[in-house]
Amino acid sequence: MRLFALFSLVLVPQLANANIGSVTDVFGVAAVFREEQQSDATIDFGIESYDDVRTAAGRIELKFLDDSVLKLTEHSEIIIDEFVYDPDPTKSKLALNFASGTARFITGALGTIDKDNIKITTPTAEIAIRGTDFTATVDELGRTLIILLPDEFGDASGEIVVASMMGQVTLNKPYQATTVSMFEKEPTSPKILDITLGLIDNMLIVSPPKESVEEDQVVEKRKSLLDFNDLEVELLEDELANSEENLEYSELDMDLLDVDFLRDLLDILEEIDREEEEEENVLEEQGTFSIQGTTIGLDSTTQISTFMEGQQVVMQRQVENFARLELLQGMGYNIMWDDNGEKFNIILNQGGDVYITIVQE
Amino acid sequence: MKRSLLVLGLLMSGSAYAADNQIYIQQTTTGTTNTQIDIEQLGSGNVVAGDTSATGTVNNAMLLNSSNMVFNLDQIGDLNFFRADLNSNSSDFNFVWTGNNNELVAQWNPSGTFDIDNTDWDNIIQGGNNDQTINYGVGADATDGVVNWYINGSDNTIVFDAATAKTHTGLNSWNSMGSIAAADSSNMNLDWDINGSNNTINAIINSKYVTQDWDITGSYNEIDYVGINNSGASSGNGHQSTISVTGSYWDIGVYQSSTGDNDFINFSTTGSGTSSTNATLCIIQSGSGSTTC
Repeated sequence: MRLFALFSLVLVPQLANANIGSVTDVFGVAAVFREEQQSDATIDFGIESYDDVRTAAGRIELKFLDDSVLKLTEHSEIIIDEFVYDPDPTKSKLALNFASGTARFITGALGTIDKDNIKITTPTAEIAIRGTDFTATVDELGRTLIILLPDEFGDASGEIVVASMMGQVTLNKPYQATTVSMFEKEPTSPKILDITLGLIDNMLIVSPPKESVEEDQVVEKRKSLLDFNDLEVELLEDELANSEENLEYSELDMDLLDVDFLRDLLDILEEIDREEEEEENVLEEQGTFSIQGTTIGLDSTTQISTFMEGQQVVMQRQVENFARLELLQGMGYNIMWDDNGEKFNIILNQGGDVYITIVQE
Repeated sequence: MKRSLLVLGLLMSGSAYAADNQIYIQQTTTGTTNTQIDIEQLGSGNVVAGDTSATGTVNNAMLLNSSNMVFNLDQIGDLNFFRADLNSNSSDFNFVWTGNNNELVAQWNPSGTFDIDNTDWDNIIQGGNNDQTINYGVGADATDGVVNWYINGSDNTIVFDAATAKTHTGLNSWNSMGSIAAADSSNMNLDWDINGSNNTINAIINSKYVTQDWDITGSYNEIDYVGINNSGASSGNGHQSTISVTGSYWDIGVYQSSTGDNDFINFSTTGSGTSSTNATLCIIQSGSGSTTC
């Protein structure tokens, strides 16, 4: 509601000196806020540092100078905190703040910005990028869902590290996802979602089919922005009724349920985590499994992720090198994990006759 | 077969065929290509080795120089002996040992005439109490080398030193082996399928980007693997070892040395030990070279 009230401010002309990127596609209601002035987002509109890009009942695609692409779905907001473009990639910087809604970010293939210099934040998480295509969804409570998308060959498009104040997880498999409900809580352990890139594209597609990307349609949408009605439902009805051509724009693209689906994934993932936690608690309560020296989930001290997988307990640690143990839940183990002289003695099921020593330095 | 025999006839130099299944081969011609050798020996006490005329002993290595070689060896029986120095790149070696108490002593590229890049070797051991000592890539590249081990027997002893002149002397003493030259091999790929008990395997590999799969079904197996010189490998592509054990009382040590901090190990087990005979696993991922278990 706050968003729509802001759209009613006076529009300002597109600035000529925009030089960090531009709007490459737009459909529906979208605007750029610059120094508290609102501009209607149109194709080729120049984007500057500190711009605040918002969508209402619309979608927008931005392309930055380094060829990074940012797509926003309906009711989303992103603030460009910083963009420095320099021929020397180590001096270039990009900092984005996903405030709300759903966005897809595809890093530039040119490598003109060192991945270390790309900072993306949400209200609850920080995202570090190593060459990647991913989506971020932030709901009204600030909860964040991150999904790593595949590349053209179906492999992981790179790796991203999602961090909060209490820990971090790495996503390195296609459709692997994590959520962060609060900055003071750890990200959930990564889960692979049973979705497809087509579905994600449908949720995030900006351009309608060509036959429906008529200039007059876009103009008509802009006019409707001026006459914006605070009642969101009416706006949607207006848009759907706007023209018959709109019907050709896939219902998957237009249906906000798609966006809701992404948001719903937050709840689904949280529910999975809750169930797993309950299952693990039950195992511990039943005396069938016990662990000492680290905790189920990502332990911020040992930096070991421990979770159940079928009949196995999996322990994984990746700080620099990678080590993963897949052990039986019902068996005893003595594990000494040594990180540069800092030793963690982990005992599963009161120990036993299996001794494991891992040194990572 | 006809082609194989013809090739042997043309290329063997100073070779002799002795009684009691003893085959001596020496092929010293350099620049030879497309050699194909098929040897099948049945019975016990068979020998494939070098010429005995000088020493009167079978303890000489046969010598082969070639590239694009195909060498199929099938020794069926007990107490067989195979000793060879093989210089050949882009080649296929298929060895099958069916029987007990067989011995293999082989060097790939001892003289440096050819590297052993792009060479595939399948080594199948069907029997027990076999001893095999292999120095694979003594003085040259073993890039893109593929070695597949199938060990279906017990009490076998394997020493496998790849792309290094160093000899494995135990997980906790590798650092005393002396300086090790930077790896000039990469992308080695090894599969170890071990279905038997009481096998002892010591392997040391000096190469970047080594990928290994160990599937161990059997008890009392002892494995020591040292992977060194992964410097220069990019992140996420270091030594990668996947070990799956379904037997018990195993004693497994893995040393992955890398200054790039990019080594990977995935260990999975369903086995256990007892208070008198533990199951032990030691994994060291370190660039310093001084750490021991």
